[in-house]
Amino acid sequence: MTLWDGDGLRVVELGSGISAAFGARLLSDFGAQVIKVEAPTGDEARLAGPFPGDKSDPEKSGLFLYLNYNKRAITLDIETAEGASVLASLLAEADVVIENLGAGRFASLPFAEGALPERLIVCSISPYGQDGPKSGYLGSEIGAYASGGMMFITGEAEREPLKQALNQAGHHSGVNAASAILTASFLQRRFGRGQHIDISEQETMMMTVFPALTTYVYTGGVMRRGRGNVPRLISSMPMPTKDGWIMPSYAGLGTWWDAFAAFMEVPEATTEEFSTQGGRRQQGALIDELFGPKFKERPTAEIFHQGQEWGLTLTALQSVADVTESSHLVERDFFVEQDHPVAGRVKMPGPVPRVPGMERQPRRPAPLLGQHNEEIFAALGLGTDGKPVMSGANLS
Amino acid sequence: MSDQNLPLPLEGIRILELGMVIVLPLAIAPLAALGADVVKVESGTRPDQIRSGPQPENTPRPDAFNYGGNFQAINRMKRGITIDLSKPEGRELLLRLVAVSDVVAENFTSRVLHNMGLTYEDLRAVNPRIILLSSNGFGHSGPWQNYKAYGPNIESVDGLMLLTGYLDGPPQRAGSGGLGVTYPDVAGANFGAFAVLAALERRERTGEGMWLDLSHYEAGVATIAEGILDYTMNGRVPPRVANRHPSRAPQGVYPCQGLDRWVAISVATDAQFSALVQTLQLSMPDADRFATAEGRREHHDELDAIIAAATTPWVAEELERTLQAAGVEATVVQNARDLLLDPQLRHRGSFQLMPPPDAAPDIGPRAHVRQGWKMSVSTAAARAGAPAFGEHTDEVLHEYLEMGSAEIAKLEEQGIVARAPRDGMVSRELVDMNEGLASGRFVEVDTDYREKLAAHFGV
Repeated sequence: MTLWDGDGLRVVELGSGISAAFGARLLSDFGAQVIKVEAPTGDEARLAGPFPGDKSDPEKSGLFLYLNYNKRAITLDIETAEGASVLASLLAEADVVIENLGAGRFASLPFAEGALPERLIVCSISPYGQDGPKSGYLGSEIGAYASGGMMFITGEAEREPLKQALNQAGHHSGVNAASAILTASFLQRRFGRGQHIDISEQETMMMTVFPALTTYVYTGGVMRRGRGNVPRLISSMPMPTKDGWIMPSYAGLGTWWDAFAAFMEVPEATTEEFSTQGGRRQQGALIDELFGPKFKERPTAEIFHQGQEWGLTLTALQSVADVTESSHLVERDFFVEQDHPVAGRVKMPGPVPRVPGMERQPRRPAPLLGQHNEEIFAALGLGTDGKPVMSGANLS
Repeated sequence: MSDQNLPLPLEGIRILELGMVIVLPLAIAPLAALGADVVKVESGTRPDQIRSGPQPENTPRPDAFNYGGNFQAINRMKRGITIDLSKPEGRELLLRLVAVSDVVAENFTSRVLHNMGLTYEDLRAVNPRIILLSSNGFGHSGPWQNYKAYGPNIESVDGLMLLTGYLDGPPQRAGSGGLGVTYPDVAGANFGAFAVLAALERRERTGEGMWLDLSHYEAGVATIAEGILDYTMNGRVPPRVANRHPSRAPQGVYPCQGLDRWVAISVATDAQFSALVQTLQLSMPDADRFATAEGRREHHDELDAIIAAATTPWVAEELERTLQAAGVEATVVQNARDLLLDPQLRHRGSFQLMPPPDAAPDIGPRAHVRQGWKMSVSTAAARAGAPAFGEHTDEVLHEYLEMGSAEIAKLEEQGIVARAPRDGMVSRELVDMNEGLASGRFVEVDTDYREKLAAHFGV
């Protein structure tokens, strides 16, 4: 069985980069039919890589291939009246348009009066939202970490605030956009009413620090980064091992302290002074002095798997290589492999969540630039260039 | 029908939430805000641990478990009931609720779910259209399916933590300075909301429910595909790059005037770099080296030092405004107070003022992040606060199962239904403000925070 039988949502994506493209991709995993509209110069994710052999090629960018499988794509200059009119004909037959053109830009496209149906769901994603005092600001991944509050509390106290790796704000804004679209679709089905969804990347990141916000609202304390004088172990900081790193989640280990001390072979830590959370905090640096060398003695994999057998919340810090070769993910058949006409065979993460019993293999690899111009324009009664065909076509 | 008369989109959808702490309750929170009837199930021996705090003014009342800030943040607009699922009668009662619900959302490990007799097959036997969201660390198949994980564990296994850190330092956990902040919990919750909504939408088309096996490990990997593909395509494990960008340069965080004030700057084009140089009047020896992005990447350390020297006298907000006006991306590195007082977020209604619970009016209104997304027709208004422990047990059992008070009293007698969490089941630990300040976990502690917030939100 597949998740794309039946008539899924019809989605038009005006996406460049990550957020809108990932949102539309997620919808396609559950059956949406997505037409991606690219500027004739192509989605910027085509330039992002990684590329096989590090040779830049707009048809081989790993990020683009991942974000855009399952989709068909056309090229169209939507800034012109002619292009906007073609876009309007596409939208007339769509349920949803998802875009990240920049705040306010979709609203200012040169559509004819009344060209967009009332039932259309418009989902916009932008750094700060569609309006407001900062809506015109430039934004990016690092901007979202900074404006959203996660950066201030990440890193070490004596150093500058630190960004998380890669592109979390873009991806999660896409997830939130997909959820909001699905929510709006309930109203659309029942009442034929669309609406405008306004996702801000700043808000996406802000939600990830909500406990820091409640702490200020309830106590006046402004959290900062670093662990203060709290031991590494008790702050759930990665501990170096013989050959890598282990994450000791103290929320779990604190509950099973004696078992943890026994597993790490630190009998000194099972005395009275260590028996409560408060007591352990008072032991301060001694905790790290007792446990640190024990972590250093053993390989990561041993602590991880044996620790889990003991029921302890110890996990390896895995590299992307470890993740790709993880026996757990291999057995769960998490990765999908696709044959792409230009990039060749590509292995990448598959759809999330998993639906047991359902096909996980994507329907089609990511589109080449303008790959579906002909069939999609023809269905609209247009020529391959997106311009009206002189004879035979009925545009009314 | 005019927009004001339209119902919320998810009205009529019933969700049973068997989840604790952050991931699952937060996944369901936006659905509650947008109209779903969410019934949160706790028990006397399994109250939601996030009820513990922070307490208003750090001062616990006898029933402190009803006023914890983080519980309020992600459980508003839900109803709360109690059922002891470890007892056979409790399980039976739950299954009767399942029979008249649309979605069950739970966060047990594989072993526990089987032991409780609440697998998808068990639920489907009483409701063929049911949707089950199983949300946990490693999912319900594979060799690690019974492994235990809290948020930091997920960030360690999914690859993100090893990629995050300073150029010359160890891997870093996101939000490690924020007590109670665990990034992967929120990330997992985003996928959880999507999963339930996608299954509901599909059920509209096919009439069939489904089991959603959401592994937070996999959700994490799904958002770092760039890194994974570098390995599958090129056999390369990417290094930690701190605040830098693969193509943009300079990109970094630079100090400003005052206590722990910083601005993030990211330059995408040569024209933006010229604007940066001009605005900050950067003095650059051998400026030719910085003419191209490639050159700027090559001499990034030196460039960082030049920029930092120029930003240090600036007030962060002033620098953000000035550079943005010059067409350069600059962003204040905002702390929690900055966010609450941010004019852009106020403009968007990103925070909602929750009136105090009826039982404790002196707590006053509190600002919380809006549950649900900004939508033009379906306003995710703050219609109700988070439920007091077991507040809606009678109401829901009556409404869903037409149970009378005698029947419910019997359940209470059997210990299935509880009126308060058992003593000591919710921690009463307080935030030690002085210690937090002394140890550096807080950059500042405001004593006038209520006045500041009241003035900002116009209370």
